[in-house]
Amino acid sequence: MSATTQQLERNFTHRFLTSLRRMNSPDSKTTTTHAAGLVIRRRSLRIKRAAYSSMARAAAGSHRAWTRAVLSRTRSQRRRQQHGVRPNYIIPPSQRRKSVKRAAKLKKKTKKKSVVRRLGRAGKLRELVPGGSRMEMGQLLEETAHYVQCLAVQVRVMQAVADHFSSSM
Amino acid sequence: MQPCSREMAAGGLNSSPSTTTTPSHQFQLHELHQIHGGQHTHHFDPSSASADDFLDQILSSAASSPWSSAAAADLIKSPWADLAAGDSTHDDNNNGFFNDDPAAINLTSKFRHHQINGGATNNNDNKMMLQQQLLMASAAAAAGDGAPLSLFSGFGSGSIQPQQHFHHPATQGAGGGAMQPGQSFGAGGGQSGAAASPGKAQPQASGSTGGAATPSQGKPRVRARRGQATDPHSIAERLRRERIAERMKSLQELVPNANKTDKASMLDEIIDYVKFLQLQVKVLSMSRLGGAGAIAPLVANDMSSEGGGGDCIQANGGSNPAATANGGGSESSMTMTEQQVAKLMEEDMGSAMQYLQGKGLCLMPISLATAISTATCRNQPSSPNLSVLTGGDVAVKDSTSATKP
Repeated sequence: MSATTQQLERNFTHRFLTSLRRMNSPDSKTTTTHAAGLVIRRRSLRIKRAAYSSMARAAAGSHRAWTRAVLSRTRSQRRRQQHGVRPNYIIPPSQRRKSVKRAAKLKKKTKKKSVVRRLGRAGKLRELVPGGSRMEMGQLLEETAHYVQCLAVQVRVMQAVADHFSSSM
Repeated sequence: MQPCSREMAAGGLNSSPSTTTTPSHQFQLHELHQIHGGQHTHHFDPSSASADDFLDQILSSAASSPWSSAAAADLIKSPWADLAAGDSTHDDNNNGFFNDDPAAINLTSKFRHHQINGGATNNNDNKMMLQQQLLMASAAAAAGDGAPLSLFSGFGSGSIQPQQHFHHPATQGAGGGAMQPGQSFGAGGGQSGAAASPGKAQPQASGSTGGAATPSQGKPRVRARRGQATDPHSIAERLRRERIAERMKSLQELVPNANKTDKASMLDEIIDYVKFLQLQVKVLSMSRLGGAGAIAPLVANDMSSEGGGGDCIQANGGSNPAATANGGGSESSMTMTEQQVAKLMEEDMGSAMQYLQGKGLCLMPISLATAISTATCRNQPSSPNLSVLTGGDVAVKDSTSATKP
């Protein structure tokens, strides 16, 4: 298994670094009108999303259901960020909490709709593993195993990247 | 009649019997296919008394085949003897089924002989019996029993379901699979043979039906099979459960601290581990943005919710509302920890250290802490984002935001 893990690692690292570089270059998506903290938060979310999508792309060779779910989730997140969340940036801070709450409720509603099967512990696992609400138990466990493997690789690589960049700074 | 039978038997082997004229051995094979039902009308008296008694006792249950009540002993014994003499000549007939097992080879050829010489009225019964005989003989060869006896018992369990494909592949399959059930079958062959026919039919299914018929025979074997064969739903469910157990086992190897044998606790462990990994990804994605100042409040909130290392650095310089929202939450816990540590430090430094380590924190001199913070967050303002204990020249810093230990 270590051969596939190494291959996965290399693939993920390549994609992740490419996406990071693309993010660092100035792009039209980031506006400068919002507060500094939000920038950081937005950027962290984008990095996280980039990490997950690059991991999903790197692991897509094994034909797993969770990779498809992650990629579709990433796309919907990006779309929501472009359309729904951006108006929040220019809302004054007093009203910002309300709109954030509304957006959160909407998100929760859509999430509840898709999560149909909540059978105790398995339901929790279904929530955690992307695309888990649609699988049955056996497939869920299989996907969880692969997902855990990929997450471990992801964490290892991201830690290495963070160390590298933080030490060189 | 006996000399007739002998002749017949001998003729089946190497000389022409009364019914046919071809002396070749391959003839037997063809005879096998050609002779159907009841050309053979000879009834052979049993030669030896003991074998006869046993045979009669067994065959009394098998009422459907008249020819078997005769001296099957003759049929069995004489070809056996002849086979023992002329075994080498039959190799071409054996088709290499049991080449490594001379007893099985004997059985195969004997089986053919019996098919030719027997010519029973009921073709199916004939086949069944011969097949069982073959199995019994192979089992006997494995068990070391007397071949004739087992053969008799094989004949005995002759109230048999008709078997269709009684050709060489069947014998091979039967012979190959007969070693295992053959033993118990040999034991149970003396009983009513309505039970397990260990032939081509699935041994499990037959075992279960046999279990119903002969509960006293081969109990452990039958019990294990019973639940499996009766209900297709239970089979499917069992398969599903086995699959799930196997996947859980493979997951157990991935997840650390996987010493739980309970499935539920194992699932909890897996869930916690997945949450932990996802949290790590989140933290790392934030750390990329440069420094303790941004991570700390968010990490503090997450850490305190997770319950581990809850009191992290509090960002004093952050002007983001999110930070203050989270920072307010962690502020009180931080002061509490500070007070606690101060109290502990008065009595014993070691206990204070242990308390902090339990929370995921460590003590270090301020100079080192400032050095680290300026190294990690260069683009932050120069004010150190550390909360300093009033105790003196020590500082408390979250271990995760520092460089890797």
